Amino acid sequence: MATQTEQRTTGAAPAPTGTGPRPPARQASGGRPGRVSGALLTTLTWVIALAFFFPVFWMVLTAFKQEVDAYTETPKLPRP
Amino acid sequence: MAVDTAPAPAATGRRAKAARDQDAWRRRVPLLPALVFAVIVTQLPFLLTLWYSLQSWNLVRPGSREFVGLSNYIYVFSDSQFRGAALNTILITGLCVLVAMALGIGLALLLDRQFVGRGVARTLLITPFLVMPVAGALLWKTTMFDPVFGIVNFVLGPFGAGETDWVSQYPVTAVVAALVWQWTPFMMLLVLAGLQAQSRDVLEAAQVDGATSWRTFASITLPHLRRYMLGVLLGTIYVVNTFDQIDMITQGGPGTASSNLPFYIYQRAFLGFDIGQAAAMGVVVVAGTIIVATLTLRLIFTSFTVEES
Repeated sequence: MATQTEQRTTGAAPAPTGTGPRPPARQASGGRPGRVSGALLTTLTWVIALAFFFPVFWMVLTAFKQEVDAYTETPKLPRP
Repeated sequence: MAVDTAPAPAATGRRAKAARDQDAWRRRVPLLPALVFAVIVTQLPFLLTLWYSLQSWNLVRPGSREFVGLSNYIYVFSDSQFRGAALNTILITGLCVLVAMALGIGLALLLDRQFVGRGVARTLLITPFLVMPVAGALLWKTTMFDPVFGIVNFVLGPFGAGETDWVSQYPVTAVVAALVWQWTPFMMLLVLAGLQAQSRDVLEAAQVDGATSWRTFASITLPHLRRYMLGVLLGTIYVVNTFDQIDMITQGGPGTASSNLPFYIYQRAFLGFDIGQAAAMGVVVVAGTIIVATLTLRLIFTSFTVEES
């Protein structure tokens, strides 16, 4: 029974990259930090993914700009 | 086949061998056109390059072509610019592959989890690898690293670093940054494939045994990922041959601060018109790459057998 709940909590937040294991004694409070760090990791993943994609995104954006706006000191968004 | 031939008496052994040879050739013949084509396309140019490398041949001086033996090679090894380019190649390749691999492992670990929009995040992260190298290099040079109009300086401006001319002050770093951006997705894909090939049972067993997640990663996941370090070898071979980023971002400059071997050979051949020397350099580089690749391959395969035994 105890192992089953253990499995379920770890199933919700797979551990290989998590911050650490929780001792079985504090299992009830253990689920909380797991979820929080999971959300943190998800946010981190998304931030990195968007950062990696950004140059390509900027290239696409530049394709829609007027020539004057393509190359400015403060970056501009394309004019409609 | 071994079962067939084993009980055959010695007298018929020769006939069996002939039949086996015939059988083997019947299977090989359909492959011959591809083999011949591969030899023509890859080996003939190499032989021709070897031949060129033994000649003093400058296109600017017509009729100057003559056989000079190994003097091109002597010149290449005493050329300090060649040595500088070789060091740059090692530096750029090593930095790029190591950083890309480290980032790749980190990103693969992040992407191996279950989370919202995982497919989209994976696609976003793979995109840099799909951008053409020339386009990617131009993108980094003009829209990212430009001292006045660049995004990097725009973002760093509030932190007081907005005045840096990245490409001319840190040419190698700029090239490596563009290369890492391009190659991280490749490493990430390989490592991600490795992570997904990992059996869940072992990880679960480690968890049941009370291993911390860091311990699980260091003692189970990393050894498992060792065979996927093949990506390091592939990446090295590709990055040694980098030309696009060097040519687009720094032109090997300032001076020769960031020129690598392919770029230097290109300069010798198509700007200096010295075919003989360029050919000799090409041969030296190919030999070096083959040696490094063989050593790395042997290292990787040794780790395979160690793991299996």
